[in-house]
Amino acid sequence: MSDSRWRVGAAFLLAAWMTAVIWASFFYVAPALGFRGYHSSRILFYHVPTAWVATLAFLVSCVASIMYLKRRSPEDDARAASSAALGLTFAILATVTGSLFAKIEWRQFWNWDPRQTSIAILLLIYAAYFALRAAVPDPERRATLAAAYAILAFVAVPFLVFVVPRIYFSLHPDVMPGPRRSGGLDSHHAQVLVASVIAFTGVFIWLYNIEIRLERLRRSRQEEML
Amino acid sequence: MSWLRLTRERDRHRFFACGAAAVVIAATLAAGGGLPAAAQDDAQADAPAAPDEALAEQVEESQVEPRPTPSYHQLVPVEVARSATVEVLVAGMVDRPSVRQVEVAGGSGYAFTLTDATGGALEVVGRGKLPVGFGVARTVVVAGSGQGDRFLATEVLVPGANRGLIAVMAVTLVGWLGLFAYVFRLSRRLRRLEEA
Repeated sequence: MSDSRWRVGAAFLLAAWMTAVIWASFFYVAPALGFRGYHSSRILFYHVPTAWVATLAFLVSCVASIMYLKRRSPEDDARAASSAALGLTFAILATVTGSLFAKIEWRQFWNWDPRQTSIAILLLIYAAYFALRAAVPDPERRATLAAAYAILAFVAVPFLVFVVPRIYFSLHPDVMPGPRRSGGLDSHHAQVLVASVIAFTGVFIWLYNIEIRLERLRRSRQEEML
Repeated sequence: MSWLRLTRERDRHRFFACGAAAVVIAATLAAGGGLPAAAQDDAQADAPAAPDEALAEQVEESQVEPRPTPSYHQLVPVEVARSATVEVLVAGMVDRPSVRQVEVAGGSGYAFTLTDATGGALEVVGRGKLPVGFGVARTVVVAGSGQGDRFLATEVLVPGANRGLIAVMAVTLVGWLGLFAYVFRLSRRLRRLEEA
């Protein structure tokens, strides 16, 4: 099978998988009890995967930045920037879906819950990353500074995502797959959630791949012109 | 889950508050806050002879049929729903002429009479609007809790009326397929440029 066919096949498989996840999130799982909104728990299947993909993308950006500082390859810099951009996009999606859930459950889109505050800080940290990139005209200096910043920025990610919301009291439900009596998800919810995480990770890999190919093409064209 | 912990904590506080109140009342009575002993004796003396048999029957009845305490979101008959202190579900048929708009605390609302399979009628009152499909539904499920003779609805569910859900799913699907088509076209164009 040629590379092109493989890519097309993988893209259509991803499309079918995500379509199945969307259908399942609405009609396969029953509404979870204990929420104010009867169907509000369905946001879980979009909010959790987007938050997960944002964390994954920031990790990839950090690793690519370390690689850049080690090898000084412009491709590593492009990888770090592309991954951070996707991470920021998915973090915004997680914030939007979280706010919709907050509106249904707690009557307000934003109520400065530790989770909401920490994701707002995270968004600002990565917005500053792009401000930094835009402020430095020299490509090498820009890449070095951005790499150092991305590594430092990622140090804050586990702290803001996993530590802060657990130190302070949070309204945010801490749902994990497991027995329902212990506050976990039932099997149908867990199945769809895992399928959704796989689908969103697939979307991230696909978009990341396109970004890298585009950057590679842009660089090769620039080299040809020079 | 945090919100479960919160609920449990709240319940615990209520439990302790009730316990503390019971201790205070018991202590007050024990310390003489109740009727003085002489007054109690007088009251006993003045009272007509106690109808022991009737009292015994009452006690027996209350032991035979204890007051049901439904659990959270349990589907219950009308009689139980009326006195439910936790949020329960009650299913029944809507008495169409009784459906009306009412003013409730914090805005407008709705009210209607629900008759369940046992034949019991329940006056349902809720805030906001009735859901899509309610107008044609014969049977509905109402979530809420009892207050006096009324049932305060937090949500009215119409079985089988998934139009709202289908609409949200359709929007999500169109969004996803639109994104997929756009990115797929971009990918193909990129492939062509790479091959050129």
